[in-house]
Amino acid sequence: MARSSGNRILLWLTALLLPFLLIATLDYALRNAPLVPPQYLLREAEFLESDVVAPRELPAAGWQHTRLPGAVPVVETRPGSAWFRVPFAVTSAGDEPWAVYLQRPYSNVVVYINDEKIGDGGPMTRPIPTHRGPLLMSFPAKLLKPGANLLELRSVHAYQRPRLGMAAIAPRSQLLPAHEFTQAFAVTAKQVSVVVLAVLATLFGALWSLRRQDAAYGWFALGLFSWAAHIQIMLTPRPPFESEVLWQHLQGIAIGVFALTSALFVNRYTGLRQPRVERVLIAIWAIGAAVLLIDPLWLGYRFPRFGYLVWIPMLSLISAYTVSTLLRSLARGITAEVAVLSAAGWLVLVVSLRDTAIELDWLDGRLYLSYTVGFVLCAVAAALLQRFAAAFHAAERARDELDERVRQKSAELALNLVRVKDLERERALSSERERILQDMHDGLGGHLVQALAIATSRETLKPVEEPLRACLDELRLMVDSLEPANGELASVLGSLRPRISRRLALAGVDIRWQIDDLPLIPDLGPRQVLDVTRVVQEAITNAIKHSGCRSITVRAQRMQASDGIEILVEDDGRGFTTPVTNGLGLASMRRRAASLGASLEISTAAPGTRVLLRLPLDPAVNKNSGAVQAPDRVGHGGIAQEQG
Amino acid sequence: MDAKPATKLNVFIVEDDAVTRESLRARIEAHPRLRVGATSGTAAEGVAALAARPDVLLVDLGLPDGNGIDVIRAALRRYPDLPIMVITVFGNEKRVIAAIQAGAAGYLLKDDPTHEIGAAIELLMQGGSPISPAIARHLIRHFQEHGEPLPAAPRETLTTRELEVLALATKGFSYAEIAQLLGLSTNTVASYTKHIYEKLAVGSRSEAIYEASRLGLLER
Repeated sequence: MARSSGNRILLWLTALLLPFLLIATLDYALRNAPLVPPQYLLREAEFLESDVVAPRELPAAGWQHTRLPGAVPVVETRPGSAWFRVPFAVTSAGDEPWAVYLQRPYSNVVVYINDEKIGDGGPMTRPIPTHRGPLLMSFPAKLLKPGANLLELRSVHAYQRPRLGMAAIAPRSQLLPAHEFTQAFAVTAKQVSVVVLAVLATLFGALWSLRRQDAAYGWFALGLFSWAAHIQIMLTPRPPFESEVLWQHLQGIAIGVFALTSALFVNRYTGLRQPRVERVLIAIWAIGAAVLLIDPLWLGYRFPRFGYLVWIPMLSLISAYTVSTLLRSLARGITAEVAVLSAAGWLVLVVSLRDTAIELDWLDGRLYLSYTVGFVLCAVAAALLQRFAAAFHAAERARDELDERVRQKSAELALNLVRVKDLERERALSSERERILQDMHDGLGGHLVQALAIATSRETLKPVEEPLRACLDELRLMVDSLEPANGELASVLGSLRPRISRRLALAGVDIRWQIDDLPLIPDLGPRQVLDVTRVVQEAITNAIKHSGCRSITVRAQRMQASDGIEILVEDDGRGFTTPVTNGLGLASMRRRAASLGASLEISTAAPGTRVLLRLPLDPAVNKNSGAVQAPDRVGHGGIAQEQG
Repeated sequence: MDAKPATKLNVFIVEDDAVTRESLRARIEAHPRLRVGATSGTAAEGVAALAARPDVLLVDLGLPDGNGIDVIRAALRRYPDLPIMVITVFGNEKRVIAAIQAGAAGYLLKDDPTHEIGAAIELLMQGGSPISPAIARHLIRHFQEHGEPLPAAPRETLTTRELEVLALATKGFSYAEIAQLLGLSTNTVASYTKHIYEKLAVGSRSEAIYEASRLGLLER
C-alpha cells in the first residue's frame, strides 16, 4: 500500500490523528445542535440529604450550597434521597407551558414548583430507576407567580451520589429543541445501535457455529453482544430486579466481557496467540466478575469502590495487552487488516479517555464512546466479513482447482483403464493366437507341409502342389494378421514380404521394396491387417500372373495431401489389353478397401498397372468416398480376371 | 556334386514327421554344399545323435517326446558354438522366439526351397544370422525400455545401429537392402543381427559355456 516512505509517514499520521479527526468531525457536525439557552441554566442550588418525601416536611436548616452541575457528597453504599432547592425569579410567565429539563440526572427525581409536584422519573420504590438520558417535565405557567419562585427537586438514588447534572427551567418551547436533540442523540441512536450490534452478533455467532475452528468469529460475536448489552443496560433506567447495584455491575461485567473478548479476538485475528497469558487474563477476569456479582447479592455491597479501584484498572490492563498484541502484529509487518484493527483500537482508546474526562467534569462536551465503539465494531465486522468472503473465494478457487485435478486424474485413470483393457485384450488375443498357432503348426500347418512334401516328391501329384502352396500361403497370412500390429502398418507389410518372396522368385520377378517411416494407424486390428495384406498380396499376385512383368514396385508412404498412408503396387507389365472383367479377386479387393474406409485406385499406364490404396488415419473420413471411388476408378480399365 | 563330399557341411535334422523330414533331407541334399549327416524323429534320438558334432543343427520345436528347445539346450551344452536353426511352419510363434532366446540362430520354414535353405545356412556359417520381420519385431519389443521383456532374459541394451537394423528388418527389407540404406556392407549387417541374437541369448549361451567347461566338454 505504502509505495514510498513519504506515503507511509502520511499513512501513520492519518492513523494517529484518526481519533482526533473523528472527534473534531463529530463536534463540527454537532456545532449547530440545539442547546439550552444559557440564561435558563441553573448554576447554583441548595442541597440537603433527607429521606423526607414532601417539600412541606423539609426542615429549614441544614442546607448546603452547591454548584451545578456537580456531585454532592452523600453516603453511596445504600439507597437514599437528597433534596435540591433552587429559587428563581419570573417577571412574566406568559400563557405557554413551562418545563424543567434535566439532561443526565443519574438518579430518579420528583420535581416540585412552589411545593406543587409537576412530575417524576418513575416509581420511587425499589428498584429505583437511574436515568442517564434527558428528562423534561412540563407544567402550566399558572403555577408560577411573578417574582420569587422555588424549584424543589427530590433525587432518589440507589447507590450513586446525586449528581443533578445540567438543569434548566424555562418556557417549554425554549427547552424542547435541546431536549429532542439529546433524546435522539443519546437514546434513539443508542437503541438503533443496540439493534444493529445484536444483528451483527447473531450473524457472527452463526458464522462461528458453522465454523467452530475459527474461534475469532465467536469471540467477536460475544464482543458485539456484550457491547450491545452494556448499552441496553444503560438505556434501561429501572432494573428488572431489586438490586440496582447488581444492574450497574452487570453493565460493568458487560464492558469487561467486551474488553476480554477484544483481547482474545485480536490474538486470534492476528495469529499471535499466547495461550498461557490468555488463561491468566480469563482467570483474573472471572475472579473480578465474581466479586462484582457476589458483593451486591450476598455481601451487602461491602466493596463500593471495587469497581473503580480494581475492575476498571483490570480492564485497562486487558486493553493494554490488546494494544500490545496489535503493536507486536504491526512490528511483524503491516497488513490492511491489522491496520484497520489498530486504528480501531487507537480510536476507542482516545475517545474513552476523552469521555472519562467529560464524565469527571474535567472537559466539556458530549460523550462519543458509545458511537465510536459502535462505528468501530461495524468497521471490524465489515473487515471480518470481507475476510470471510475472501476465505470463501479462496475455498472456491481451491475447490475448482481440485475439481480440475480430479477431472484430469479421472481422465488419466480412464485412459489407463482403456490401456489396461487394450493390454488385456492384446494379451488375450496373443494367447489365443498362440493356441491357434500351435494347433495350426502341429495340425493343419504340419499336414499342409506334409502334403506339399508328398506332392512335390511325386510327378503324378504335381497338379495339387500349387493349390497346396496357396493354402499354406493363405494360412500364413491369416496367422500373421493375428500378430498384434500396434498400429504399425510398415511392419505389417514387412511381414508380408517373406510370404510373397517365393512366388516372386519362382516367377523370376524382381521386387522393389520401398517402405517409408509411416504414421501409426489407430485401430489396426487383425481384420484391418488382413484386409490390407490381402489387397497388396492380390495386387502382386495379379501382376505376377497376368502382366508378364519383370519387376514390381511396392511403395508405402505418408500421404502428401491429407493425413494417411498410401500403398502403391506398380508393375512394368503390359497393362490391360483385355476388356475389363470384374474378377473375383478384384471385387474382393474393393470390398476390403471399402471396409478399411480406404480408397482404391486401379489404373493402367502405358507400361504396367498401378494399384493405389489410400488409407486415411481416421477411416471415418473416407468411409463413404472409398466405397464410391473404387468402382468409379476401376471403370477406366481394370485387371483381367483372377483365377477363379 | 559327389566330387568333394569332405567340404560339404554336415546338417543334422530333428523332425518328428517322417514325410516332412525326408522332404527336407531331399531339399538339403540337393544343395551342392550341404549333406545330411543324421535325422531323428524324437528329442531323445536327436540328443543321442549329437554324440557326433554336426556343422548345423535343424530342430523342429513340437516333438512327440519333448520340446525342441530342450534339444537346443542339450546341443549347446555340448557344442556352445554350434549353429542351430529352428524348422517351423510359420516362423512367428512365441516358441520360435523362445528357441532363439535359448540359443538358436534363426529359423527355416518347413517348405523353404533348396536355395533358400542353402542361403540361410551359408549366412549362418559366415557369422551372420538370418532375421525375419516377425522376429525383428519381437526383438525390438524385447529391447525397448517400455516393451514387454521376454521372460527370463536380462535386458541388454542395443546400440542405435542395431536398433536401426532391426527397425528396417521389421519393414521387410533384406540384408542387402538394409546395408544399402544404412551405407554398410551386407556382412556387417549380418553380424549386427548376430550380436543382437547373442544379446538376447546372453544368459543361455554363457550358462551353456559354463556348464560345458564344467563338464570338460568345451572343444577348441
